Amino acid sequence: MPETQTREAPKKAVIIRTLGLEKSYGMGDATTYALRGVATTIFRSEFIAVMGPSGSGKSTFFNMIGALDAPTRGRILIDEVDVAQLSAVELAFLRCQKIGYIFQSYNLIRYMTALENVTVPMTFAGVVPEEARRRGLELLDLVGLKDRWGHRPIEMSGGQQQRVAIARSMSNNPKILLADEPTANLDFKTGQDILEILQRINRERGVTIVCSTHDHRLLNVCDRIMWIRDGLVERVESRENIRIKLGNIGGEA
Amino acid sequence: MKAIIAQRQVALGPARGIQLALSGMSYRMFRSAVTIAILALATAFLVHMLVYGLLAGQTERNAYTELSRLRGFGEQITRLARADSPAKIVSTLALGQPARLAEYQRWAKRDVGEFARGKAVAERLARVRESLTELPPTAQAVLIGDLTPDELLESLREPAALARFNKKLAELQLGSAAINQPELVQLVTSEMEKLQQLTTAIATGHEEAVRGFSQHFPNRTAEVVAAEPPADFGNTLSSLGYSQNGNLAELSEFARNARDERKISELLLEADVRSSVARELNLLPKDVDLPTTLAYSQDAEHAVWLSGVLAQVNAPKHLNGPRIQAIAEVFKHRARLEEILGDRVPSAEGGFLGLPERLRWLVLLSFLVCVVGVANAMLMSVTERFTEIATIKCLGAMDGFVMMLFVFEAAIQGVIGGVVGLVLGLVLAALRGAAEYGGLFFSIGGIGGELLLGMLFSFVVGVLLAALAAVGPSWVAARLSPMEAMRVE
Repeated sequence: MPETQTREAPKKAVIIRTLGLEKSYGMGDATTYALRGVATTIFRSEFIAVMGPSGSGKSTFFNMIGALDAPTRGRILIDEVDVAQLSAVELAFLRCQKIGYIFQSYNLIRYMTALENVTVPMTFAGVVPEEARRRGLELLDLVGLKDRWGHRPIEMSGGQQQRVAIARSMSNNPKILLADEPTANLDFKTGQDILEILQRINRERGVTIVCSTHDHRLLNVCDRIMWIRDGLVERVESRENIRIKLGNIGGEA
Repeated sequence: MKAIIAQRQVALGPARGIQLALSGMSYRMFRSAVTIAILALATAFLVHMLVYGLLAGQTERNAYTELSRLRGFGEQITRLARADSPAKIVSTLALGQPARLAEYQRWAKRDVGEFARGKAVAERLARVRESLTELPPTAQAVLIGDLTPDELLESLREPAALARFNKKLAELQLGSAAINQPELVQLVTSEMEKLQQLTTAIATGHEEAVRGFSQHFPNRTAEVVAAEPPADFGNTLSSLGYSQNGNLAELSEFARNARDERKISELLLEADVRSSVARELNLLPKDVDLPTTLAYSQDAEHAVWLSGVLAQVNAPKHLNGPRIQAIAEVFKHRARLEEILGDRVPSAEGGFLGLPERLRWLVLLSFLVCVVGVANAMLMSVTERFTEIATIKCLGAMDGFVMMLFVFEAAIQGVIGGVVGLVLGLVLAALRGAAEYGGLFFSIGGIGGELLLGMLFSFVVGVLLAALAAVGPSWVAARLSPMEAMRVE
């Protein structure tokens, strides 16, 4: 295992590292930069919150580290392996087995029941249907929706749908969970539930969680916070160091 | 210890793909049904065009064959009574039905070589005539003027006229493709002379045969003789040099029908018959004619009534009810055949599935409609699922599997739509054919193979189109990175 030495936390193992990450859209004069050189390090089993105003490049950053989109320049190392080096087959394996995704708009498959949605990634991983069903029900139990396994997304509330999405993201026991504004479409109480579930997954299973949000309650849950602004990392702090500033609600910290 | 080790993703087999495609379709039952309906309509359209085209072509060909046979009987009876005209002899020589040529050769009393040379000239003459009638109208006006092509060719035998004609032809600068000038010159200067001699010899021979026939069966028309043929009828015909194409029983049946039809139309001219038929049919007496009367007499009761009316004016004894009904039946059948055919001579089989030319274009057009409809349906069903594709790619589906899923789904829909369309198209074609041609439409003997091929073709086209039309959009969708696909709306 390579030696990982960073200024902030010298002892921890690194799981995601980005080097000079840039992403631009358009060509020539019309080029707009979503990311302009993000260098960051995410440690194993930590819960890191990514904050920043809309259009700051948060979502783009998420798609990059989730290997969903290729950067224009720079490198992404997931557990010290350059994502650009991976073949399509290996990328599919990574997305299926090692990384779980949670989206702001849930992205459940409309015509499938909760259980079927949860077992889709298992199907792609080649898990036999009986096993997939058993594990799917366990995961639904984890998010408190065991009774509603046969319901379609349209029959469930936003919070329930997001919980199904969390169960789905956990279906192949991933090492990393990427949550892109998971609570943005939910009310206060439901958002709280979602965050608790995420925290539980992080504490009990040791899954690395990267969660972008506008929700300041996340500060109670996460280990570190990263601020992104105009396509650059503005600041990274441990939770202990920013607790004092929590009173400053309404600003951008 | 590394937490993440890159491995190859499990590849799912076609069986799993079909299973997922099927369950996906059953979830989206309504959308699939719409797609299948579009496919079915497109296939039905194609099947309908093909099957109807094939059957209509076959029906016309059958009608033509039967009419030609009937007309052949009529001509045969005419030839017993009257010698062919020179023009008729020349055109018959050029067309060259073996039976007729044999008759001519016997009547001409020439050796085989000379007869063959004469026949070759007749063929060349027909070619030149045809090339004259196919000239552009302006050239026709200059070269032919008010004459018919035959009159022109006749007049060109005079050297001065030929010289004028050649001059005009040179001025027109039509090129050698339009008219074969050396052939024409050779024809009019020397060959037409020979042909005329042969024609005259044939005509003389034919006249002798006609005379022999009327001496053998005096005081009776050829039709009457053929209707009730004496025992030596066949032998007499052979000894006079006539060929017997078709069998004599059929010939005499035709003659009997023709004789009786003639008799009935003669009797209809009688004022008493005319007025009672007019009353019965609720017509003006001047509108009473053979077709309307016979159409009315197809019914057994009406036929008996007509025979009663005819009996009052001393009709022949054999014109009883059943006989009249039979005549009406034959008459109607023949009228139907003529109606189907019109003036057209059905084109010979050839090209794609032996379809007539005008139908080939229609089939091509319906094929295009099919392509556009299916491509559109598939494009829609893939593009409206871009988000879903992006999601399952995030969850670990590989590009190939996404494509396989969509192509299988399209192929399954294609198969179902194809079967439904096949049935629908057949029913449509049958209904339309029945409306247009009646029972004659379903005499499919001889084209069963083509029909099956046509149906198979439409079915395969439907399935393949569906699958191929899904390949394009799903290829695009599968290759987009998941986030790009999710952004596409």
